[in-house]
Amino acid sequence: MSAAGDLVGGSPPLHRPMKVTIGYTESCNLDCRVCYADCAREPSPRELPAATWIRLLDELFEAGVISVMIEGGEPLHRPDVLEVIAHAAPRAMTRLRTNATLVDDAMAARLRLIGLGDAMVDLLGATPATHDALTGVPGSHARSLAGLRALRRAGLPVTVLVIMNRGNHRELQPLLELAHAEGAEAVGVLRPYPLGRMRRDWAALSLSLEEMTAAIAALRPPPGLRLMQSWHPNDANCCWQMAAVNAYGRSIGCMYLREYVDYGDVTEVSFLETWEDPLYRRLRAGRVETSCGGCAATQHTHGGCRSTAFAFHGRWDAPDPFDSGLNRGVDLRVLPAGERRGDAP
Amino acid sequence: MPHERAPGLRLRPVPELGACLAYTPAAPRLHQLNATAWLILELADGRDDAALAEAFAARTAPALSASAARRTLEEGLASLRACGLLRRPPGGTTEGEP
Repeated sequence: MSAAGDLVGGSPPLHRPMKVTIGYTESCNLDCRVCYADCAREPSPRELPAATWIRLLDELFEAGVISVMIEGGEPLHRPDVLEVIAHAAPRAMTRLRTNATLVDDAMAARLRLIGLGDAMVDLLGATPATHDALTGVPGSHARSLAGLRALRRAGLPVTVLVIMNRGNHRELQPLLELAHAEGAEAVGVLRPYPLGRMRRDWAALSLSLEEMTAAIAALRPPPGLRLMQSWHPNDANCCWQMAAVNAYGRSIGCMYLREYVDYGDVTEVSFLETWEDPLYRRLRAGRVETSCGGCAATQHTHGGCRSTAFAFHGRWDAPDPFDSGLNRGVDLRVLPAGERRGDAP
Repeated sequence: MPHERAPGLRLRPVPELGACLAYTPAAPRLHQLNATAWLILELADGRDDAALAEAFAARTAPALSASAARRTLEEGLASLRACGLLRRPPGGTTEGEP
């Protein structure tokens, strides 16, 4: 652990949250091997009801939130999420991350009608064989594509998301072409995080940094399709602007910190009280042991993602090993033994 | 004819960054405004072209000359209209139109 005086960098200051991610449910109709929420088929009775989310959103809007991302699990697996979207959309850009298998034309039209801003659709492969093997549900690729098409017919902008892993890293270019053909505006190629079921299957699904960067470098997005990726030189330390609340009302800063931090129960204390948690403030400050110049130049932050930095080093200020400029020989296919929470307060 | 903000427009100033986020729920989109666009948006609501030009020139002098202020305002207004953040009231006409 470094002494505070040795730290470098620093993130833009932000005194109040401007965007929030809601982990609406930890239930889903699929069984993805890469699931970070380790979803069950049925929602836990401890998950917050829509009425509580609506009260919480009002508090967040009052605090300055103007963008809401709703994810899961599969948010549409709980139909009351529509009440929350309808409440949020007049006051905040409201985005939905979904596997789209529960979206038909009627659902897509309803989402559009209640003010959803856009949808982010998870696909785990360009082909049914790859996707269905990773979701564990035969036919899910066809159902996700049908849902994506319904969203587009309803006029909703769609971004396709794919979590890169050993099962699909050779299929990313066809996935870009599929997404483009289906009318997606962008594809986000996401790094794998050692969380939930993905962590348990890490030995089989993870890739070396060289394999991942080679896969990214080989991509040729079709004209008009935007490619988003967070490897060098785009590895941001996003904590300065992140706020997230999980399905049980715990303030966790970012969904990718879901197993590492707990800033408090927002059904018992105000969100802003959790915002001032010492660790939350420290992560937002963004001072780190080492900064990658290339990523700092493009992202205006330092050290890269705090989730993967902590997962591999057990220190909040550590360099992110997913950044080739900061990796320093870490084999991303091998997780550190045991739980490392060395410098958590 | 006065300028008017888009219906339901919500602003979220981010003074820490010298910027402002603007959300248009009628056509859901989040816009990031720089300080100049933010100023024009704040000044434009309810003002006609002449009053807006006068207010903008007063706020930007002496950093901007009169001609530079006029040009900056025209470009900013065009951009804000193109993004759907400002509009003319329904039924209104723009200058030069019958």
